[in-house]
Amino acid sequence: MTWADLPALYPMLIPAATAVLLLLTLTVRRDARLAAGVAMAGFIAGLLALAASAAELSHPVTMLLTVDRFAVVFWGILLFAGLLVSVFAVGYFRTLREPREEFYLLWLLAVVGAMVMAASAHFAAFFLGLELLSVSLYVLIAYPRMQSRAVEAGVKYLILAGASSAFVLFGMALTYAATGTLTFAELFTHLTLFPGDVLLLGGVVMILVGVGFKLALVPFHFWTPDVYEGAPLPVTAAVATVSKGAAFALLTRLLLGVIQAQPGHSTLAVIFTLLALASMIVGNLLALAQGNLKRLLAYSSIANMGYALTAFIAGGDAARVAIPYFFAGYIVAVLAAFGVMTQLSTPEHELQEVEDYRGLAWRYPWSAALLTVALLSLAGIPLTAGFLGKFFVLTAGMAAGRWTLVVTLVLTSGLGLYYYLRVITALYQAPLEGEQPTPPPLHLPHRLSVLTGLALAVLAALLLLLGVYPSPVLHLLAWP
Amino acid sequence: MHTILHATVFGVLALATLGGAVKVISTRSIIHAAFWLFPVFAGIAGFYLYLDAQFLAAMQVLIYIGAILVLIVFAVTLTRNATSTDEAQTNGLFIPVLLAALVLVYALGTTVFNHLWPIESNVWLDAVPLSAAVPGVMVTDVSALGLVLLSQYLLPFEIASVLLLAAMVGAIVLARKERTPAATAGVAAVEAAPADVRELSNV
Amino acid sequence: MVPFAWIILVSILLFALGAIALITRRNAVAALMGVELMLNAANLNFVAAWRYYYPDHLDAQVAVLLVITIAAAEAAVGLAIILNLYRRFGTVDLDQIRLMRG
Repeated sequence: MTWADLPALYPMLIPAATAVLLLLTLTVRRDARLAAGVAMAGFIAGLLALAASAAELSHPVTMLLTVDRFAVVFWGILLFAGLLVSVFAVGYFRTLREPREEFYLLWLLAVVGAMVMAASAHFAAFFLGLELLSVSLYVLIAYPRMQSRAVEAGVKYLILAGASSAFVLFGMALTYAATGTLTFAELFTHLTLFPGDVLLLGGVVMILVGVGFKLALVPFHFWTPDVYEGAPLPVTAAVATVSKGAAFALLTRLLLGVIQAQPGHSTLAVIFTLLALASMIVGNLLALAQGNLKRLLAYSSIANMGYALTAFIAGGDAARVAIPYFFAGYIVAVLAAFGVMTQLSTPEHELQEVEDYRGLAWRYPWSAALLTVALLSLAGIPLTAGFLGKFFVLTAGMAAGRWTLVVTLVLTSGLGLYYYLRVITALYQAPLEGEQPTPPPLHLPHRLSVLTGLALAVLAALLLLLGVYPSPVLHLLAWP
Repeated sequence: MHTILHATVFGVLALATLGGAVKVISTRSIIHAAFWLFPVFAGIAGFYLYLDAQFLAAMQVLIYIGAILVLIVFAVTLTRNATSTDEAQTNGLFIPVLLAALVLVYALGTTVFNHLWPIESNVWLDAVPLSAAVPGVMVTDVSALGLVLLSQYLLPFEIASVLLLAAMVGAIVLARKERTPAATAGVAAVEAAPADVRELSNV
Repeated sequence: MVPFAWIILVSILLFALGAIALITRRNAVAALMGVELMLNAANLNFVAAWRYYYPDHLDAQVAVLLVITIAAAEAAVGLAIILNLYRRFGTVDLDQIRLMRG
C-alpha cells in the first residue's frame, strides 16, 4: 500500500475516521443531535469523495480491495443508504431514554464494513468486512435494550450470523487447502481450470451458505421475519438495504465471472438457480398471508433477492448493468417504505401491523402517497424504479435463455402485486366505523423535521426518476 | 519409533479436542460445558505447536483460554438460572441434527480424500521443509509474521482495529447500567404495544 | 508428521460437533460456545493446510490471527447481548424466548 492508493479509498476512510472523530466529540459533549450531525457529515463527505475514487477506476489497492466502477457504484448506494438511515434514526430515537450517540458511531462502522465487503478482492478483506458489519449490526439491533423484542432479535441474529460466519470461514479454509491462495482472482483461475474439484466446490458452497444467510435466500431465510420485526425500524431498514447490498456486491465479485466462464449447467449455476427459484416462490407465498408490515417486507426482500439472483445467473454485460440498477431501485424503495414507517413510530411504539396503517391517507396524505409509490416500486409497476430494475433483470435472463427463472419471476411478481395492493388499499380505506383516530402521544413533537422531510422528498423523487429517466444512471454503470 | 511418537502426540491432542467438544454438547450443567472448552482450546493450541505455528499457539492460549473462555464462564455465572440445571439441556432436535452432522462429515471427508493433493493426504511424511519468508527470516519466526502483517496485510490489520473499536463501544453500550427503573416493565409494555400515531404536519 | 488427512478429519469433526452444540443446546451461551468450536475448527484447517502444502507464504497464519481477534470481539459483544437477554426475560433458554411468531 502506498500513498498513491489512498485517494481511491477516501470514501471508505472518511466514514471510518468520522467514527473516531465522533468518539472524540463524545468526550467533550454528549448530544444526540450533534452526534447525528457528525455522522451525516461523514456520509456526505464520503459521497463527495467518490468523485476522487471514480477518477482512479479499476485500481487494485494492494491485493485486498479493487476500486473499480462496480465498487464505486455500490459504495455510492451504501453511503446514500447510510446517510438516510441516520436521518431517520434522529427522529425515531428521540424518545429513547438512554444515550443514543453511540448508535451513529456503530452505524458509521457498519457501513464501512459493508463498503469493505463490496470492494473486496481477497478473503481477508471479505471476512473482516463481513464481521465488522455483523458485529455492529448485533449491537444496533439490540440497541433499544429495554425492548424485549429488540433484544430477542439481537440474540437470534447473533447466533445465526455467528454460525454463518463460521461456515464462511470453514469454506475459506477448504478453498485455501485446495488452492493455496486467498485472492478472488486465483480462486477464479482454479475454479475455471478445475471445475470438477470437489474440495474447491465444497469450500465455495460453504461460503455460499454464509452469503445466502446475509441475503436471506431460501433455505437460509428463517431468521429474517423475526429480526425484521424485532429490530428498531431504522436498523430493519439497514439490514434490508446495506447488509444485502454489500452481500450481493460481494457475491458478484466472487462468482459472477465463474458462472459466466462455465457452461450453462455447471454445478454452481444449478445451485444458484435452485436458490433463486426457492427464494422467489417461498418469499412471495409467505408474504401473502402476512398481517405485519415489517414481516411482509421481510418476505418481500427474500423474493427480491431471488429476482436479483436471476440477473446474476444470467451473467453477461446485461447482468453487470441489471444488478446495480435493480439494487438502486430496491434500496430506494425499501428506504422510502421504512422511512415513512419510522416517522410514525418510536422505539416504544412502532406501527407494525397493516391494520395500523388503515386510513393513513386521510390523516397524512403525503406519507401515504410516498408509501404507496414505494410499495408500487417493490411490486414492479411501470413508471417506478422497481419496474425498470425488474425489466433489466428480465432482459438479462432472457438474453441468457434462463427461461425457468424468467417465467417464475413473472408469475411470482403477480403474486407480489396482490399483497402490496392489499397494503395500499388499507392506506386509502376509511378508518373503521366507531373507531377514533388514535390521538398522538403528547410527549412527541408534532412536527416532522426539515431534514426528514427533505430525505423523504429525495427518495420520492428518486423512485420516479429512476423509473422514467434511467439514462444518466445507465451511463454511469457502463462497465469499463 | 518416530511414527509412534507422532501418532501418540496426535492421539492425545485429538482426544483432548474432540473429547472436550463432545462433553461440551453432552454435559448437563452449562458451567461444566464451559469448562470443557478448556481441553478443546488447549488441544488446538497443541496442534498449532505441532504444526510449527508457535506464535498462533501462544495467541490461542492468551486469547481463547485467557480471554474468551474467562468471558464465557463469567457469562454463564451471570445468567445461570438456579432452577434449570437439572432439566435436559438439549432440545428435541438432537437426533435429526446428529444425522445431518454425520452427513456433513461424510460429505466434507469425501471432498478432502477425492481432491488431487500435491502430496497424497493419507501418507506419513518426513517433516515438510520450511523455507525463508524473506531472506534471512524463516517463516516460523514471529518477525516474519510481523513483517507480512504490517506490509502486505496492513489494510486488514487496520480494519481489524476498527472492528475492535466497534466491539468495544458496542459491548459498553449494551452492558452499562440501566438508568430507568422500568426495567421489569419491558415484556408487558411490548406485548401491549398500543398503536400510537404521531401527528405529522403537512409533509 | 502424521498424514494431513488425520488433522483435517479432526477439524471436520470439531466443526460438526460445534454445529451440533449450536443447534441443539438450549442455552444461548452454549450456542455461542458452538460458534467458537466451529471457528477453531476452521483455524485448524487453515494452519494444517499451510504447514503441509503451502509453507512458503504466511497468508494462512495472518488469516488465523485475524480470526482469533474477530472471535474475541464477537464473544464480547455476544455476551453483552446475552446479558441483556437475561435482564429482559429472566432466562437465556432459547426455547422459552419466543415473543415473535415464527
